[in-house]
This record gives sequence, C-alpha cells and structure tokens, in this order.
Amino acid sequence: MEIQISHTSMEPIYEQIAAQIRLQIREGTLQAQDPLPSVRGFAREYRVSALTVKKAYDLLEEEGFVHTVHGKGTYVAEISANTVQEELQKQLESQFLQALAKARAMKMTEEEILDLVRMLMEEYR
Amino acid sequence: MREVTTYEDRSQPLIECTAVQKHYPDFALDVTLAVPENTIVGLVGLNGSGKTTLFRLLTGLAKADAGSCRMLGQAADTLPVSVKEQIGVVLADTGFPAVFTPRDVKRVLAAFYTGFDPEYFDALVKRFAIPPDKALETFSTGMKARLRVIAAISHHPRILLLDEPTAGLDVVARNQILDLLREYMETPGRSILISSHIASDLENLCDSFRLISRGRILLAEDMDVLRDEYGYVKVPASLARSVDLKGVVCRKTNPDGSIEALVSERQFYLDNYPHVLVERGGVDEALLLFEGADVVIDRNPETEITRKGKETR
Amino acid sequence: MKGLALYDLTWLKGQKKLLMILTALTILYLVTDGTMVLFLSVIFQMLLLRTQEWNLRAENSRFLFTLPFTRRQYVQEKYLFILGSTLVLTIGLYAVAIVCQPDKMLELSAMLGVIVLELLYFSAILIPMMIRLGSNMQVWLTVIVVVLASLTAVLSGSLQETVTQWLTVIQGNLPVVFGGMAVLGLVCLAVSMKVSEGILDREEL
Repeated sequence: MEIQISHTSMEPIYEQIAAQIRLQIREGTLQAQDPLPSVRGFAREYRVSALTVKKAYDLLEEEGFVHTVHGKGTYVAEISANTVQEELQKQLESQFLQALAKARAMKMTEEEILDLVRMLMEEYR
Repeated sequence: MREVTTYEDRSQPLIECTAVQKHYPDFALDVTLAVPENTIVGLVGLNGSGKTTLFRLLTGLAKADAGSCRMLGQAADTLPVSVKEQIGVVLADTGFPAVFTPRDVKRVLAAFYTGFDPEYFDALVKRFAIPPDKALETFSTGMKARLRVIAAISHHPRILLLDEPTAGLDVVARNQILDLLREYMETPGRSILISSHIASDLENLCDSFRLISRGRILLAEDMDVLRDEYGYVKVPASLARSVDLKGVVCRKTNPDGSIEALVSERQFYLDNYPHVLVERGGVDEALLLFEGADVVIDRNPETEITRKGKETR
Repeated sequence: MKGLALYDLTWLKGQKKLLMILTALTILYLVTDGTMVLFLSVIFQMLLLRTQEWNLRAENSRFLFTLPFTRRQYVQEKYLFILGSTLVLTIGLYAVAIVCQPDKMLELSAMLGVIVLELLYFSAILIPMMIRLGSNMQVWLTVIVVVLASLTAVLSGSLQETVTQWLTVIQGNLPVVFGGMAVLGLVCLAVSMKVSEGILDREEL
C-alpha cells in the first residue's frame, strides 16, 4: 500500500493516512475485504507511532470504510463506490459548513462569501 | 494480532512505578508511571533530570527510598532471574569490557539467557556491518551503540529498557536502531521504555511520552496529541492581559512582558487570536518551556490512576 | 553462574599485559631461584583481587548486573573464580618447578601447602574488604604486595633454612596440621562468603 506522509504539514498524520486510504478505496486500488497492514507493520514501514496508525484505522472504522476482526487484523469493508462517494460528500459538506459558520461570525454577507469562493477557485486552478 | 493500547488500559502493566522515591543530596526523584503491553513510552528530560536513576531503580541497580517499582508484576529491587530473562537493557556508556569481541559477547549472553538466539544475533551483527572478531575498544561510538542494542534484543525479551540508546549517533545509525525497535514491536506482548534527548527519534517512534524534570514527571501525553493538538504559543506584551490563556500546561513570562506557553488546544488560539504566534508542539519545545517556566500545571494523569487504584483495591 | 564464569574467563583472556608479566616473571624466577616461583601465585591473587575490585566499580558493572543472575550467585562465582584460577596457576607453577628442579621437591611441596593455606585465608579476609572498601583496597593491596616481594628478596637466603627446620619439626604431624588449617580455612571462606553477600546486597550501582 502506497501512502505519502508529511511530517511537517499541520495536518495530523492520522488524518493524512485516513484520507489516503479513503481515496484508494474510492479509486478501487483497495478492494472490499483487502487486508490493511498490521498497525505495527505500518508504523515500522512509514516510521510513525503505532498509536497514530491505530487512530487512523479507528476513524476509518467509525466511518464504515474498514472493519477490524479482533485477533486477525483490519480489512476493507464491503463498501460500494457510491457509499464512498457519499461519505466523502458528507465530509466535504461539514467542512463547508464550518467555513460558512466562520464567515457568518465575521459578519460577511452572502455576496462577499460567494465572491471569496470564486476568487479562491480561480487561484486553485 | 493484538491491537495497540493507550495508557488508560488497566490490564497489568509491564512496568509500573508507584510513587517511587529516591533521595540524593542535590536531587529528589518522585515518579509514578505505568507502561502497558504493546506500548512504546518515551522519557524526555534534561541531563540530570532523573532518567538514568529511574532506569537504575527499574533494573534493581539501586533501591528506592519509598514507593515501589514493578517489572512484570515483581518488585524491581529483588527481581527473580526468570523476570530478568525477559528484560533487555541498554544503559548509556556501559556494556561489555573493552577486550571483548562481538563473538565473546555472543558466547557470554548465550550462557546467561536461556532464550538467547545466536542466529538472530549473528544476523543483526551482519546487518549492522559489525566486525565479529575485533575487540570492542576498536569500535566507533556508533558501532558500540548498535552492539549494545543487539545485545539487549537477541534473547527476545518482553521489555526493553533503553537509556539513551542513540546518543552520539549520526542520523543513519539512529534510524537503523529505531527501525530495529519497530520490528521488535511487531511481535505482540512487548513494550519499550526509551529515554532520549533527540526529539525526532521519540516523535516518530513512541506511542506516548513522559516529560521528567528535576525528578518529577510533569507531563504525560500521547505522542500524536502532542503533535496534533498541543501548541507553542507566544503572546506579545500588548495582548498579554486580553488573551484568555486556555489549556495552558506551562507558561513563562518574559522580562518584556510577553508570554510563552505550551497549550493543549492550539486550535483555540489559531481560531481566536490571529496576532498570537502559534506553532506545533514538539518534544523539544515542550522541554525547553518546562525548564524555563514559572508556572507549571501538573498534567500527569497517572498520579490520578494510582490514587484511584489504591482506593478500589 | 556459568555466564559469570565465562565473563570473567573471557576478561582474563584479554588481559594481555597481566599474562605477559606473569610469564616473564615465571621465567625469571625459575632461572634465578626455582622455589620462589610459587610466590607468583600470591602476586597473581593480589592482582586479581585488585582488578576484580576495579571491575566492580567500573561503569561496565552497571550493565553486567542487569543480566539474569542474583547477587548471591555473583559473590559465589567471584570466590570460585579467584580461588580457582589462582589454584590452577599455583599447581601449574608447582608442576613446572618440579620439572625444572626435581631435587627441591620437598621444599616446593611445603611451599605449596603454605600457599594453598594463604590462598584460603587471604581470600577470606580480602574479598569482603574488596567489595566493601572499593578503591581504598588498592592501597592495602599494593602495600602487601610490596612487603611480600621485598621479604622474598631479602630473606630468601635465611628463609630456606627456616623452612627446612620447620619441615623437620612438623614432619610427623604434617597431615594433621595441614588438614586442620585447611578445614579452618574453608570455614573462614564460608563465613567470608556470607559476609560478602550481605555487603553486596546493600551496594548501589
């Protein structure tokens, strides 16, 4: 399993791991019932603490992407591409909501918010 | 394979210190800590903060004045041989006599440990490019350090006690040792207590850490909580009065009126105080701040666990 | 305990300087006066005590004591090692001396007896001192070695006569005297061992 981890980014490592696994599931690189590496094995290979890996696995399990068989390991759940898309959509929505809440707290009008979004989209391209 | 557990797991810890005290003329150690199974705990502190003393207490080299240290449930100052067989130790600057060769080390260890694995020893010696028949006095610091770790690990112990195993090593040698330790941990049922000066070693290896200063543990926390949630915050003098110092773990007021603090919720500051400098909390920053702080909040939940434990028993 | 013995033997094997000096002195003594050769074992014993004391204080002892053995086993092995290796050396020197000067067999045997007794008693007294006193021990040991060496040198002539006289006197009761002293020596050793165990138990490393 190929994962890229940045130790210097502000994004928590467990989130980086979870995000990439989600992506691989969505793209089909990881199929249902595929085993994920053991927590310690993953930790060794990517030189991160095992607790971090466990956090990522736990998060994915909560979201329904993987399931853990006690004593055996963690496996990709029976999950369709649609469900993955839904889950990612849900996360995106909640992130947008957070941003909106902040904008409201700053007393931005709807126009200002939309202008900001358009400007950022330009930059992003 | 068993899953990794956090320090809140109450099943018998492999290493347990309960209010263990040791008095020296210029120094007083008072430590409570527990290392559960399948965990790597890092011990961070300055020279002379008590790390080596703690290791000496855990291995029975020194006796506590009060309190107790237990290894695999047995009192550390009278460890039976059967328990010692399950422990591997690296103490800084101490090892085998200079005239020994790695081959001598192997023979002697085989005579001491029933669980000694000579093939594994040989494989590691080869992997680390250590000449098996040259005397230790001809070795560089790096080679001696690697051999010490190999000697501690070759009998497949359940617990590793490592006091500064990577001190004085270059980055390549350090990573070799850390990789070896990660491999070691892939077998369930084991734990490591490791002390180090080198923050990056600990941050990428340990599950949790304890910060020790002048003989007392001042901070106990999961490693990634430190990295993801803690922050180093610098409040300029002009804002010192208006900023609500939430989640401060330790704080230092500078002569110019500015305040530096280690906080457990850096997001709060990022969200609410754009003029305040917020940086990721790392082990080095934590240590520097603790040593120079004028206010410290005791964040060692294990003292709590011990008190509760005593009541329920 | 097997590990401790192997540890000490491996260490001894590495003491090239010590072993070379011994060999040189052995040859020297054999060439000058065969009977004094056995005193080398006393010197060896003293040197061994001194270095063993140093080993106990050295930084390496910290690591050693984390290995799986009890302090009691450590003390027992020390006695065995010091007495055993000195005894082996003594018998070796005796054999060499007999071969070189078969006519002095009687004196050599008497000396052997004296040395064996000295081995028992000196060890019984000095080993606990070594464990207890640490580096102060060195001063005492150096003094003893110097005194013995000078005595050997100065009195070598007259000592031979005294030894011959003693032999004639004790000859009849020899087995009893020697046996009694040896048994007492062993008893002293046993007591000494217990004392040493107690001392080491209280030591911090």
